[in-house]
Amino acid sequence: MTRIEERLREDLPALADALIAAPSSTPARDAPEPGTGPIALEAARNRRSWSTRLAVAAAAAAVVVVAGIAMGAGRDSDTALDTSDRTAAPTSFGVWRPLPEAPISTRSYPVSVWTGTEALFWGGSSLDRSFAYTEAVAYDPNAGSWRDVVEPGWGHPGAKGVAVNGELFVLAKGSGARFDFETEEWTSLPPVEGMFFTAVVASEDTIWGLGPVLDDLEGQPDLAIVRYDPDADRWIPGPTFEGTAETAGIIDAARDIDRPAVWTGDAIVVWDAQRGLAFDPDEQAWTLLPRLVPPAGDIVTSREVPGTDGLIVVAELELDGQRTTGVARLDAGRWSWRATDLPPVDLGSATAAGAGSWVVLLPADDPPVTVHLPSGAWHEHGDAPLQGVQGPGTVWTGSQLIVWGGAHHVSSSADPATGMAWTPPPVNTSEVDADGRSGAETDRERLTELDAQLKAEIEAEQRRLAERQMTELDAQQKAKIEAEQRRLDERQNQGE
Amino acid sequence: MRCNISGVSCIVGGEMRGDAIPVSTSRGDPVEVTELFRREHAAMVRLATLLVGSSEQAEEVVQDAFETVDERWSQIERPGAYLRQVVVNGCRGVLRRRDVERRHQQLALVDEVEHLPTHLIELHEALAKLSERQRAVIVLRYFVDLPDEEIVEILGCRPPTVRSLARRGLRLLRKELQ
Repeated sequence: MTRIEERLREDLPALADALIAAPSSTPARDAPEPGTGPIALEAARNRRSWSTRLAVAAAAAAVVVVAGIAMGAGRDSDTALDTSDRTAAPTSFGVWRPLPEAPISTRSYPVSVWTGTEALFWGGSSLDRSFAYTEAVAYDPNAGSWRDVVEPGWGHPGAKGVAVNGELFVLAKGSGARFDFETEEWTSLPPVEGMFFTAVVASEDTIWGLGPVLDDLEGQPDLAIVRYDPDADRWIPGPTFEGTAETAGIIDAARDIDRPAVWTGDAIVVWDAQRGLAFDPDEQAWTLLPRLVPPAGDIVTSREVPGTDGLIVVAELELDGQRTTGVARLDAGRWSWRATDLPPVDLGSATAAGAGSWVVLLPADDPPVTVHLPSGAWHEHGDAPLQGVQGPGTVWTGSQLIVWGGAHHVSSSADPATGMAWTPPPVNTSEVDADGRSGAETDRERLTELDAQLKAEIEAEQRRLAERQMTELDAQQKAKIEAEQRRLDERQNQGE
Repeated sequence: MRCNISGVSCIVGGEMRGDAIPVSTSRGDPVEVTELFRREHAAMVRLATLLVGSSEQAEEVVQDAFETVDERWSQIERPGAYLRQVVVNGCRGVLRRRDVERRHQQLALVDEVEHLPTHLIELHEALAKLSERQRAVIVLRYFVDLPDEEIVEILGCRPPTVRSLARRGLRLLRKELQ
């Protein structure tokens, strides 16, 4: 949690209580007219008061308000609203379909990104990472077709890549390259000093590389982070995280080329088992994340899920000798478990991918599992074209998850596909009330109503202003006439 | 195949979530509505006070919200969550109205906060500089402690929007409170 977040958690309750206890802080126009204050306020309240049958409850509630203020500062954790409410479960879990065959053979761990129109796959390696590939291909989900893409002429079994601002950035060891989606040209990136890359992350429009510090021989291992400056075409060092005994496991995980670092929308996170480190680019600071604790039993291991909004972690859980899989989410410094009863998955060989409000688990030897995060509902897809795949590339297009490559252990048909695509069910984004209106429609109606009220109030004020002006004009006119009459009378008197 | 939801091409049944909303236009049972009021009024007033910066306006918004919930009680699946949504929307309307009135120079806001500790005055003034959506996200996240998924439902926006509003709001608050 950052310093500003800590301050908000501490001071917002105190501010609320202080404002409630304060003298009236209403806008000037609502202040009572002199001499009619209490009567005017009471009349205003009566216009909006509870219906008669609840008047007794209102009086009783006054005691509650006083008690609420007396409880003073501290979290508003005593609200009885159930913040663990889930949304409705989906009525279906989407469909899988095989992809047509790609123009190149499958390989494991290809760099996989969405260009905006195509799923681009580059590089990759053998399953044991002993051999690297150099080719690139792109799949157009609208056309359902593949094409070859120019390759950079090199490959690396541990290469990582992300897309940002219309380009693919790939990093490996101490350098990398960038690929422009429009011009389809590869350009080398400058080498980095003092570290080598094991992870690359895009935060909005910035590229970050993470990895071990070179020649880091003393004490606990450290974790370096650098930012790419496209204008200067160089890497700008960020603050190195100096490892401790407590963080050794996390940094070891960050040094593992099989582990991705993820961008949560607020921070870059590296994760291991039950703890993680977060780097806030705005504050240029590292913080240790809260420990992930299961609701029951133990966490055997866990992995972060790339491509999600926020930090999502998939965990192998064990309780009384029974294994299951769970999915947890970190929001504003607090963990919440979305599901804990998925079938057991070997996270060491499985792939997890974010797909909108879903997480898709691709075990190496079992069918894929889709998890609907808002409801915690999940489904194991025995009908997917690939029933076990290890090390595929995955690309979320915004409407479907493309899965290609990897080692295919089990297939559901005699003619195994080399890839598959999953389309989630249509999104039901709103509750519908008794009149069949969605929450969004209700909000729009309420806004229209508020706008009409506001317009009426402004017009009424303008009329009052106009009336005042007319009154002033009348007074001025009357004064002029009286002055003229006096001059006329004087002239007449002089004439007489 | 397995799953944890019944009736979805699955072998194993599980708990059903998301029951259909019954169609009815009657008000709620007074006992139930009163219980909701007793339970939630204080918390909703605190929430609304932080959103609009005024306890008196907050009380009016909350009273209106309880009226709305009472009128639609039998149509609502989760009264507590719906109440909160109505309160937040009501507060946003107050803030938008206040902005329009300020632009028309028909209103001079009088904030009687001089008696508060300095650090709370600073926070109060900093919150006032946020847009009404940024303010809503900040208060719902760090005061009510809601997960982003629930904030998405209340504000009717996408998860990336909530995160973006939070990030920008925090950035502005950090700058104001330095």
